[in-house]
Amino acid sequence: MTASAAPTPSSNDSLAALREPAERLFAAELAAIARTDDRERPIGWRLSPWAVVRYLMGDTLADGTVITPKYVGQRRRIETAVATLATDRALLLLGVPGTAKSWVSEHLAAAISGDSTLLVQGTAGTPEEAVRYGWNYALLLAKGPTREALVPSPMMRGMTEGRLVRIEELTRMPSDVQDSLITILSEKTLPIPELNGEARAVTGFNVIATANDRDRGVNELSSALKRRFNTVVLPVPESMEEEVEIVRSRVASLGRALGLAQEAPALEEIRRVVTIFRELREGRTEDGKSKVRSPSGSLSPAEAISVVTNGLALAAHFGERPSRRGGTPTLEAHDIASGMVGAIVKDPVQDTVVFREYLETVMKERDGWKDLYRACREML
Amino acid sequence: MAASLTILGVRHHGPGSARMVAAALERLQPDAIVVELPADAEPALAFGGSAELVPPVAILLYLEEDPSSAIYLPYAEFSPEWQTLRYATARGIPLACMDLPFALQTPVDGEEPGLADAPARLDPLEELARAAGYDDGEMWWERLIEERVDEQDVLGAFDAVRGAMAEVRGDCGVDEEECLLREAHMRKSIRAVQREGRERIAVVCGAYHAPAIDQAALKRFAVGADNDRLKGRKRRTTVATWVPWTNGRLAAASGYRAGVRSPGWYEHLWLHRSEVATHWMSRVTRLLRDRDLGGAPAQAVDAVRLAECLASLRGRSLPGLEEMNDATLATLCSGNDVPLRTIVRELVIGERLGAVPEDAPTVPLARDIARLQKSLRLPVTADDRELELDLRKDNDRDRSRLLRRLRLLDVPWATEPASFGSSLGTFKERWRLQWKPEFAVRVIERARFGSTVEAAAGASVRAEAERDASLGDLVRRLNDVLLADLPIASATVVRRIGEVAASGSDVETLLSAIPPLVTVVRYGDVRATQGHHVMPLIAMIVARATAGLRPACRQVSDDNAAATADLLRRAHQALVTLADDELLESWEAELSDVAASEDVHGLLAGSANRLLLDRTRIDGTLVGERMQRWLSAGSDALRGAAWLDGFLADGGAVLVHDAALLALVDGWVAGLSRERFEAVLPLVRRTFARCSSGETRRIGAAVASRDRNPLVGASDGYCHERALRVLPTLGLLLGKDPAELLRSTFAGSQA
Repeated sequence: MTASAAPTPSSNDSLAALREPAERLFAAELAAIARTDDRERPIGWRLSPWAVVRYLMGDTLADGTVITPKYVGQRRRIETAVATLATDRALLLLGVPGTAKSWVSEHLAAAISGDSTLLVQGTAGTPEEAVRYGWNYALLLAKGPTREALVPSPMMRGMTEGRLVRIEELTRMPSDVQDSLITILSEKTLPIPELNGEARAVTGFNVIATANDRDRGVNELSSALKRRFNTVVLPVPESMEEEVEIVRSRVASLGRALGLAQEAPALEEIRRVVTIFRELREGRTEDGKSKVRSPSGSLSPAEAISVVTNGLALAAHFGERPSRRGGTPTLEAHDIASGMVGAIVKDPVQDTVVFREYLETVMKERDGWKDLYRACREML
Repeated sequence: MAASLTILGVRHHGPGSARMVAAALERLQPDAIVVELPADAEPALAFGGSAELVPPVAILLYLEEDPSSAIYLPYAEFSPEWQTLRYATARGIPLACMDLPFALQTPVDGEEPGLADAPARLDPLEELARAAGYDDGEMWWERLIEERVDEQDVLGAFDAVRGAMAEVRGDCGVDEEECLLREAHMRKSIRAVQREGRERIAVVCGAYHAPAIDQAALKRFAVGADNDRLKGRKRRTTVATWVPWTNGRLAAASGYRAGVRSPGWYEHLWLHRSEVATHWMSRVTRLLRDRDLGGAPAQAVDAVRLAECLASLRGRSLPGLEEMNDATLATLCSGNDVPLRTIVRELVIGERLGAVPEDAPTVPLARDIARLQKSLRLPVTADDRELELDLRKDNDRDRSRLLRRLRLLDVPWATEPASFGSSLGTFKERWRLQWKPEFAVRVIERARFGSTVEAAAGASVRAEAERDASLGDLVRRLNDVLLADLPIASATVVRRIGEVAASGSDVETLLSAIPPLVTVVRYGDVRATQGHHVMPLIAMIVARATAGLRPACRQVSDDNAAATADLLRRAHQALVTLADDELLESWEAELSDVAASEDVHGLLAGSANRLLLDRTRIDGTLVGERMQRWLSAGSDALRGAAWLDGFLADGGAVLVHDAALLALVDGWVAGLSRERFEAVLPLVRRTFARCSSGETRRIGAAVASRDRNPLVGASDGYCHERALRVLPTLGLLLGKDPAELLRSTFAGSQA
């Protein structure tokens, strides 16, 4: 969940990289924190744990530098994550899709090791080489198994250089590849039988893995591996304001990227979308007065973002202009209704019932929601 | 005066405070101790040394004439007052209570008994905590005072606390009148103890009062002014006793205002002075293992390390409960808070129940019951007897209310005799009364809910309603509660019904809740005060039921269809009697959808059609078309039979009056092939067996008159065709022409 405006990429590249790693995007903030950080740093860490938490949660430094919040949510979750990395247990960030797991993991690596690029992407086809090592076959054939012929994985580099390694979507990896992590995490060593040796991890090495607990078809972690991780769950945002802010800022930056003309009153629509998503997700209305049933989808902030962006695109390309000369089209209820119904109704039978119930018992009664109620009613 | 006066300002229920007080008393060796307890609680202290008195217990103070005015003063093992009490009784040191007697305090009203301590007292702590950068006064106190104090300098620490409090009180400005009054009484009591010539007096009180009752304050406030302030208050008779308490009730969550959030954690701190984290985590893993939720010992080590790391990250010298919980969650529970929640009650609050000596005086609830039994002339007897009540008489209505409230308190003194049906709307009630000895125990047990029958019944209903998850139970309970006349509790039950109905109740459950709720609206409350709370509930339940009605009718299995159809009919009848036009309209609109669709279960479609036909929402022609479709040769005969079953569930008279429909049924049965006929026969037979014998006879007659062909439809088991077959043989035997025989037979049968 980004609450930060995207800083401009370095201008001397004629063709800017589409996306820079966090340690370059936020180099100035990291440097400023490092200057003022006078607390004890664990060996191999660029910053003290206290400063890392500050970097993620946002703050204003003594010298006036403003640190933008990278994570909007409970401080104690980030504290637990950072404290875990300071012990010798690995960190597993768990959450439904769209709760900023990868984002947090990238920033943690950037702040602690100054490098967020040691990344292993977990997929159904991730080979064991991705967490151990591969071979340069030309050299292997020419010289036999030697150190030069060995191609280290990001994991192995992180171990020998004492840096953090990120594993994305750990539960998507095949189970046998997952289990090859056990030795690395508990013995902190990677045996290389071909060379009759091993790569030993140096201080500063640790692993941050992310996994989502909602997807189907994932490979559940073995309990042996689970025991080597401390798990921090990143929840969907707690308060309405947090979530509206997350959606608003992301929609603003995405809208700019897509070249969509937009205007401020969209905030009201965002508030409505977020309200509906939150109420359905949490199973009760915001005023806490009545309960509602939850549909099967996860209804994360990420989905709210896409509903609003989608609505903006509809309004921009097909919406009615307020005046003949053009002007910015306004975001109307029917622009977001289709996206919203699509996001909520994942199971055509059950979710339709749930959403219809919600429409009739909650939305219908609400002041000023008639347009949205009608628009949704038409879509069902 | 040469006597010394030491003020020990504490936090109630702080394990650190308890330890500090114990250490301070050891150093001071006082010859008199004064505690902050209402002066009229002193009789209860006589039991203080009893070994049968096991904390958590509470001193209960109530007015003799009105037990609902009561306060509880709960103590745990780690309460400073408890340690003081044990210290004093063990050494035979006189213990005086200095607080304003309960008899003089302003009474607190409400269903819950008043609990000691005004919230105002916590505020200065909050002020100090905010100044120190904590957002919680309790935590600030724990970290800065209780966890850090060196026992060698414990008296100095108490002086510092007093100084800090004096500062804060200065800033907070004027106190409430009640507080000034209490402090005046405290000073008066201390002066009295001083006059007895005691040398070393120790005073244990809430830290907030410390600066107002020290030696300087005794000089600052004139004796006369204090006495004037206390003058003119009406004194009433109070009773002091001990009652067993639970850690759960000690927890702030249960409404005890000076309570603590985590008695279990405090008890742990009290029991383990060093290696707090290690002992705690081993307790956590043990609890998890007991429930098969993991918790390997090796993980406990990791959890302790994480907790300590978190504490240092947060700038704390030792991990607190917060760090422990975060570490438990991340390390032992894989981030899943479900296992943590299953153990958290036992862990953080602790399921401990105190005990009191047998000779301690009885609970107010028992007194209230005795009082009511006397005033309503309902003597307690061990034999069972019948009681008939006429609800038009005041005394009988009060009796009924008492019996019903006791039933809600799980004291089933009165039971419904077998013959007692649902005769709602009449003015009579019949009960069977039998008092059993074990009820006495139950009354004491239920006393924790309140000190009068009304308050206790209300509180226990509310507690149970919060736990109930079944809509059926709640609806039943609502009826009981309304009859027992407990308005606050019934509001809770109504709210819970709303919540439960909203969260994942299936359509069947929702439908089943409609009739009893309608009954409640129509008859349940004699005074008609609750009906308007229930109406929106019915509207909500109907809205949810209709939203899911069609999918539910589609998915229902053959086994459940009959039950669902029954629910559908009952809900419909209830809504018709309720006669709320808007509600009925939306309900019937949905019912029409069910009636019109062909993919729902036949039984339900048939029932829906019948209900609408009876209400003249659809006409016979439309029903005829639908029946034709369902019974047509192209559709499954069994589904057709089910439709017919649903359609005729409320009686077959409709077939007598509508010849077109009867013709359709008749044609269908006649047109069935042999196999299909055999398949549907049991079902159709059952359908018609349900009709009254008069109806079947009239249907039979209608069929017969509609079709005059004597060869078809004889209902007495006589088959003309088969009879004809015997004629040739008979002709041979009798030597007559078969045709003539036939003629003579018919002539005979018609005669």
